[in-house]
Amino acid sequence: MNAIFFLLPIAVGLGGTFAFLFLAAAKNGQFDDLDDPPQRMLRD
Amino acid sequence: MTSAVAPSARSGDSTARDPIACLHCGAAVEGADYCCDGCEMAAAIIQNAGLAQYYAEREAPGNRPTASDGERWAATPREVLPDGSARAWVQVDGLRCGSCVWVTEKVLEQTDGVVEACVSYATGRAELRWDPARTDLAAIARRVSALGYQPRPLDNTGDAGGFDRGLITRLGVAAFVASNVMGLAVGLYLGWFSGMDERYAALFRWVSLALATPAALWCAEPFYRGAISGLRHGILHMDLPISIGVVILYGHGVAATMSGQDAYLDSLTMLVALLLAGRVVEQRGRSRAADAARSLAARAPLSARRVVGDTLETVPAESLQPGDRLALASGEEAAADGRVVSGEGALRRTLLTGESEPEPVSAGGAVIAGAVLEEGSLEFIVEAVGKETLLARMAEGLARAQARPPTPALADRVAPWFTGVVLTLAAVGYVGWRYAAGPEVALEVAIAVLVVACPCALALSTPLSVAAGLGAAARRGLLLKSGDALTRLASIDRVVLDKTGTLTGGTPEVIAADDETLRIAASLERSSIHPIARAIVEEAIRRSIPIAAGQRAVEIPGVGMTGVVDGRAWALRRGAPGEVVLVDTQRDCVEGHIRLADRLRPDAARSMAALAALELSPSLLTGDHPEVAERVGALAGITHIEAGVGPEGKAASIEAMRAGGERVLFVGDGLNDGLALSASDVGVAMGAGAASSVLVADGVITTESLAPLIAGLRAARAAEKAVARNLRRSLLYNGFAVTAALAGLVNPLVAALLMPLSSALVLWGASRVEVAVASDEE
Repeated sequence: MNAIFFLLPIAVGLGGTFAFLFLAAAKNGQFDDLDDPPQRMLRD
Repeated sequence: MTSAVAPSARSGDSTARDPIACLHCGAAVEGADYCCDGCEMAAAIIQNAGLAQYYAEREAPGNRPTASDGERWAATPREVLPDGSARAWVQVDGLRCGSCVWVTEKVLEQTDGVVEACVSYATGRAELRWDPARTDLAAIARRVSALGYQPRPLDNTGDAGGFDRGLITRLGVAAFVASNVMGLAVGLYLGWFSGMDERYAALFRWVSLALATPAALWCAEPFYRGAISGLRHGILHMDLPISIGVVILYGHGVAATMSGQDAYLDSLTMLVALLLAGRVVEQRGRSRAADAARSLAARAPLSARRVVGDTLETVPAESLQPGDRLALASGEEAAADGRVVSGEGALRRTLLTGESEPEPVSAGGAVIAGAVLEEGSLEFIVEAVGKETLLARMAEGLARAQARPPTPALADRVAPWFTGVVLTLAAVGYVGWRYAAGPEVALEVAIAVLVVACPCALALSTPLSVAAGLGAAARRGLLLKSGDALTRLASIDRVVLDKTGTLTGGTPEVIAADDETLRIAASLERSSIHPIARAIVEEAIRRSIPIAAGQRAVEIPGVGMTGVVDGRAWALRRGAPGEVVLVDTQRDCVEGHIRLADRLRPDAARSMAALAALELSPSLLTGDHPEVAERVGALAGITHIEAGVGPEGKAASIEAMRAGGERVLFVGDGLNDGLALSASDVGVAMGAGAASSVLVADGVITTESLAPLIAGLRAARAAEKAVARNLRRSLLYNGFAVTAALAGLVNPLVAALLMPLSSALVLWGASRVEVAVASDEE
């Protein structure tokens, strides 16, 4: 059970990595326009 | 031109299956594949680009290409990129479906000199990149016009703006924190039942607190800011109880963690994440509508042609000075106010007066910025530019007149007494339990009351339902600028409509002509794309009059048409207003008259019937002659008609109706409708109308029909119902939860189960709006 003491920070850290990736994507403007890309995909 | 380019996809094109429908635009035509040279050209471009698939996949028939609108492209702002290519943004009107966007992009990409073309389906804004050495913007724009779409210069760059990335970033962090804290909380709750070593419980609590800290301090900041600015202005709105709830939850969390007690941190993080999600949904709906309205308003001409000695130079509109001499050719739009010094023609002042009939001007006559010279050519001396023009001053005046205080949302009106009641109940609970069980239990109860009363569901109820309503209306062609407008739209009693450009589409139709005159006129006009020519040809087809191919037919811009039919030479000329005369040119005598009038929108009568079904009575308010108004009213099925009223008269009529206790929706276009748009409870502008009416209106109809109005009314009512239902549900939940908390039955686990339940109920309620609107349409 002592494994939890280092597994928990690792789990939170992993989650944090994905949260950071999301923030980077949002900053890049990935979420600015959600209407066009789906249309574009169908057209190409 | 022969019809050698019949799209091979004809059999797959549902809109062209009718043997007499034009292959491109679907208009009635006899003995040919296309109704006019313009459509034939458009089809040829599409065929040659290898895009025939367009005809099989499009959801709406194409637009008929109209004569080039003479927009001047030289002064459109552009940037030169490091690789030497130029980039500019252009608004493209008339895109009806994904296939339109596709065909426009592909055709442009195959155009010589175009490096990249990217057209947005949502806004119709095109980003163009081209090689200035090989082509120019005007040539690219002509290519778009040839397809039947209408390109317009944009004075802003592609920076759409409006969308705040901060909110979605906060939502991302809050969602991450909430899911982790909830996972830890599950562990803690299970530990209650199966026993858990205190070391692990302490670890879980401290990690939860560490995770919840950014959610409480940073993610929830927009709510704190809203509450503080509300307090500063003496308004208690929904952000206040939310902030109180979050602060108490977090404060309790810190204290409980330090003393080794269970906290409500899972509820706190989930609350923040859910509320932020509500904000993001709300903001998306709003910024989209505002964006669309802004691009519609960008209509003023950006450049002018200045006379310098014997030559003309194209200059940006902002560099014009009073005293400059400008040239205006047929089809061009004036960039400044001024006075005619030479030449003559007919000016259409739709932007200012809303009436589409051009008025003749000659030396000494006034020119107004935004007016279009329909025929002739002239030169004028500039008297006012930029903000000093009549157009700009009126638009500014209207914007000021329109400053009306927003109606607070229902939930915001509930907020003050909600806060009061909750605080009182928490105090009552504290006092009661203090005597019954001592101060420690009393504090627990008071905090539990404040926690479960945190108005998560209540705060979500309005934005989610309103966003759903705005979305349902926008998908059907009515863009509303605010949720407030949607709320007001739901309680409208009377719908007042303008005539020109609203009930009628601004395209003419033949109302009187004899068959022989029509036969000769239609034969002459067969290949013209002028709206009057189209009206004549369509009427001839409707009456099944055989149309001969006119010989040597020549269109003389601004004058009419000449040509030979049956071996005789004819001319079609403009006669009295609303009339075209057929002249035998050899004998120089008038052989016939054709009377034309503005055509009623095809869906006008159906829309009026739909209004009646919604228990709304329509009224017609117009500056036109009573006779004309009666004709249009009878066709549309409107009995309450006020004709011959000017802009102030329209506003006064609406004020009178409002004074009589009615809530009035006004639908109009032209700048002369601006006052009426501001005077009404909800003003809706036709997107094709004057730029300034779009600015002052609460909403814009983006398609050339009245159906979006009906859909918008339905969406508003459905959203209103959903808001009321959600408020009832969330108040019921809060009443129940607070009672339980007062009874001492609420602990962190119970709170964690209750909160998502109430939010889910609200989400489900909001999702019913689209369903309700769709089922109404059947």
